[in-house]
Amino acid sequence: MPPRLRPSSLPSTSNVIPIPQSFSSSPLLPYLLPSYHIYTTSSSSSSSSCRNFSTSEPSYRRARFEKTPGTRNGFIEWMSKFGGRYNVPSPTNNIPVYMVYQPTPLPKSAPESLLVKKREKGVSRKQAKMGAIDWDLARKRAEYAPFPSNPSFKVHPVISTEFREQIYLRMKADRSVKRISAELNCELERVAAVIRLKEIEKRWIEQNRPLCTEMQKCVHAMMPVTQYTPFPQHESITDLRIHPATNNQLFLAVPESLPFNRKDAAEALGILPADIRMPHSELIEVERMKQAGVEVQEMIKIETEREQREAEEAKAKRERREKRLGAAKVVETERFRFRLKPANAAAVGYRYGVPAEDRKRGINKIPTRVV
Amino acid sequence: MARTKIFALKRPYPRQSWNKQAVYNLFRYRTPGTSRRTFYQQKFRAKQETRRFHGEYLTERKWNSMFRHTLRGVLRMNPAAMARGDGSSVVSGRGSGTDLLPMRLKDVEGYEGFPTKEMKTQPIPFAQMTFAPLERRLDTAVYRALFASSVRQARMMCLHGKVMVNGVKMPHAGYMLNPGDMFSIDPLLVMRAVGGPQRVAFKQLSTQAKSDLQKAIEEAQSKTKSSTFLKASNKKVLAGNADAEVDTETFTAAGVKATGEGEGETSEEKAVGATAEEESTGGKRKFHLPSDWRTYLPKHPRWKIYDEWKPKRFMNLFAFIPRYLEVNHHICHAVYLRHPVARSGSAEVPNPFNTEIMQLAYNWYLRRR
Repeated sequence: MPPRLRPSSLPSTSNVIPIPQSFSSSPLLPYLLPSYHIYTTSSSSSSSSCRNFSTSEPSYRRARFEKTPGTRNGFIEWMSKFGGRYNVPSPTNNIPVYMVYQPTPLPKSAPESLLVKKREKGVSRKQAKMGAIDWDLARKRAEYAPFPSNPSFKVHPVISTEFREQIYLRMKADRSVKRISAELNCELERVAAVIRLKEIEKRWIEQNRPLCTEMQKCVHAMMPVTQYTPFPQHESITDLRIHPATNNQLFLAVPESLPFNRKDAAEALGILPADIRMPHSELIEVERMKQAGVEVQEMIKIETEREQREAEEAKAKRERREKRLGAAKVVETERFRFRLKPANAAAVGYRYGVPAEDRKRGINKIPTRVV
Repeated sequence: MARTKIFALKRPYPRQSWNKQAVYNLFRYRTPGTSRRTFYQQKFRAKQETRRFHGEYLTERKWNSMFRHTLRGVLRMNPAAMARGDGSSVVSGRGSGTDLLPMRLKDVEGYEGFPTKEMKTQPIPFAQMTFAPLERRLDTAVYRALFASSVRQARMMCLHGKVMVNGVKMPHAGYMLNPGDMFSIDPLLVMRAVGGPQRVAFKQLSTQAKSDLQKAIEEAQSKTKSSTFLKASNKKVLAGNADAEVDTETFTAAGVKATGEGEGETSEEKAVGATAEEESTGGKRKFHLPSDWRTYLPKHPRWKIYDEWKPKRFMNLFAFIPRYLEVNHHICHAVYLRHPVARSGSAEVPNPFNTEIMQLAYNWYLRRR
């Protein structure tokens, strides 16, 4: 029995949204991948990428620019007091150290006035306030929120170097980007980019160009990193882009007796349904088969066929494009290689003798794309 | 004209920089109060605050032309729930839906009908995406990829022609990256930009080092070589003397001190000095070092930064890479995957402002205010 992702192995504290059993891809994926066992040999570290995101409250109670006593508006004193505490070039256990306000906002359950009133004898106001702060929580929050005043910006972990190597190995094993993405729970674009970057890295190694390994190591030590595990849960791969057409209200009269489903809604809005627009839409079909109780071997067969079909389609498309581009008649001269294409003489193209507009005011000369 | 004093301590504002004063200002930063202010005043203040952080070197006219009122967001879809139904249960009946269980909660383990506070999805902070168009700029992307310690430094790298986009030199800091664009910088430049202070060149010598150096130079000169040769290959010169080894480490051991730690040096030693006098155990000795003695010393090798790299101060406070970038620090290349988006509970544009302020700033930039 191959290892499965169990919700019980994930961190389950009270303030975390329970994670669905299937994070984004199907838990059946291991069955659908014929040679999944190749990559299950690495050590089973318990570190999970499922982060315990929590938010911090803005500290609106405090003065805007607190003037600290000392020279230069308190800067020198702050540097001696906090400068060292915030500058942590190599954090312990690779737990990132981001900025925390001191003091952090008080917990909401205990109002400030109450804490001060109910303090014990011999405890100052300040001590009572500081004692009420849950420093562990503050530290935990700061792990993923580099700006304590903005709780909606959270740091997402990056993938480790080993993880990248695994992506590259799978590409070398002739797996499609789509399949690698589904296996490793990385966005499609990320997988493609990692492969591109890895290719350059390999070329540099071949050319004996030095790599900045020390910098890579230091930088990764300072930020949250997703380590490679047999079935990593790095990020959601089925993120659907909110279509601008869905932002506007649309009033549509529909009969009560007839069902109105996603497809109908998309048709009314004039867009493709979410089942098609969603990346990795093939996972819906996999889930459907799973719910219908299709045999695992049968599912693997169907999925393999689908992959082959898609690969063939992509190949045919590429060939057609090449054929279309190569259709131009080529005339080789000493200096130039003319590629003659059929042109429409009636349309206005580039005109000789007419001054270019790029010197005009307001015309942007910055290129819009680099091929 | 862009403001030059951007890290002022008297009137501090958050800036996109790892500068120590910028860090202090960010630490001190508190969101402005909105009480006793008109809506217009609140919006204006919010616009001021946010623009000081986002592209403060851009004119308002330039930024206005980049601003878009459409904000990007994504929804996480659950394939299992989508396979279970075609979505008709959400609007069935009279349009309010017969299925009381929201689709996103169907797969939640241990769910018993009533969503708790934690289970409720957080709203998408669309307002945080107000300055997302700036994230497309090449200079900002270079800063976000941790290739520069401030946006201004990144901008300078671009303008000096150090940044390549898809292998082509791109000297425009305002180039708007397209999804899939790869940008790169020379690793040495990156390591210097985001690295700590490097070892400094030698300035003063101890007695032992001086005698070693003089011996080496004399010996080398006796071999009837031109001085230009000596300069070109100072290592060879010093290698001629068995006592004076070429390694930097040996020189440090022999007493050559870097300026950073050179506190106990005698005042009579002059950096310019062609002749230096020194008391030694044997008595008075005179060294006749040429005025350009520093050129004979082994330099700190260029490649050492690859092994001895240390992060710049306070780098850890800003060490995060947004999800729309994929960075490889081994080769200092990065890919701009897609435009930044907002999702439930989080947005991809890093800034220290809460949603209320961003909402006000967004309202300011809508044409009708």
